[in-house]
Amino acid sequence: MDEKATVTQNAVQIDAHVASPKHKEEFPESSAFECNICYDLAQSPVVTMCGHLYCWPCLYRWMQVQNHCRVCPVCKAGIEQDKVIPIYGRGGDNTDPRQKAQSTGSKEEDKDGPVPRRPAGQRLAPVPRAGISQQSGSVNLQPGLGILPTLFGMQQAPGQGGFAEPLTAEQQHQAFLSRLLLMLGSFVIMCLLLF
Amino acid sequence: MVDLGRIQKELKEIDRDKTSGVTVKITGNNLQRLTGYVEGPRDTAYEGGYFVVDIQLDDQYPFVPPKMRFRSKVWHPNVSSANGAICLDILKDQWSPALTLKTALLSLQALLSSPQPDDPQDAVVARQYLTDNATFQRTARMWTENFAHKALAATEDEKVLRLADMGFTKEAASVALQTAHGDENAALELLLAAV
Repeated sequence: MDEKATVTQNAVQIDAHVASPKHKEEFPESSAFECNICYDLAQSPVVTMCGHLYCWPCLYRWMQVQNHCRVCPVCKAGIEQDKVIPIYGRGGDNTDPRQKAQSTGSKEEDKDGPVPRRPAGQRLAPVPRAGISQQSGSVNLQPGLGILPTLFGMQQAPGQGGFAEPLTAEQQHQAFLSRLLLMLGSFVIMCLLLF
Repeated sequence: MVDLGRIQKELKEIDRDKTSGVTVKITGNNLQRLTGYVEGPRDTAYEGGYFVVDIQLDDQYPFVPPKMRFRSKVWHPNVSSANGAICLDILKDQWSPALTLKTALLSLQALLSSPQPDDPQDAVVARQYLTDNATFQRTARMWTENFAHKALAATEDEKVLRLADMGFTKEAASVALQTAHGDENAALELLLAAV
């Protein structure tokens, strides 16, 4: 027994990031991945903010059926169409995701009237880990440089290649600092002019 | 289109659990007409009873609640003493597709053990429950003994068999009996009218 316990403990440690063999032991019938409405393995799976799994066509149909307020069938928490999270597993459908984006979910439409395409995942920009010396250095560097470009209305383009990517947390922080410096600078100039 | 896969899974699950005190049998030939059996809860006037429930599933099931009605006569504030209609929120606006036939039947069992006279289906019974509880208990027990014992449920099956002997299919016979509220002669007339 002891031996087994240590083995599983090791397995947990190893699987901290991978975590698949443990799942098979816990959910032998894989019922954890069944849709809460049709009781089948979830097709085009989506998960609500309260964590309950559904097929997207099933959940969409339920949202259309409800007339007063839309609630999660399992826990009655509020649900919204644009607040469900799609789950993209490996395999499942073999279509190229780029092509799929163009032909909008024709498979679901055949079955139960028009079901809109599953909401897309919300892709947050990667957040750099706090407490890394390299990053804090670059932030300190910025205020010295920052005042002149911002005064002349030159915003330092993120990525420099002209990509319109969303700002990372670090870039937002820098933008805030430069705006603060701009305000301070204009205040000083105003003081100089007035007195 | 009714979700047959889900209904089959539900029936399998009910069959697997022998201890719950509720069972479901198929009545029609398309899984949309079923008969539920609920054991009377212990320490109540309904103890020892074996209540038969007509279940009808809409095409929209599980997005709409199943239609349930007591075929056995029940003396209860939330059940019509005339036609067995049930006043229970989860069978109306509080239904959720995460609920099942089993949970609905278990809710009926719970309703039997805790009547809600403030939201009555049968006003006469509710008034008696509130003003003359002793008489209510006596009447409920008497009705349970007379109208809801296992032998009576068995005679229902015999009626089906008798009608089947006359050359009708078992399915048609039980559907006709269900429509005729258990009246064998009325069911026979219905069957003959359909031929």
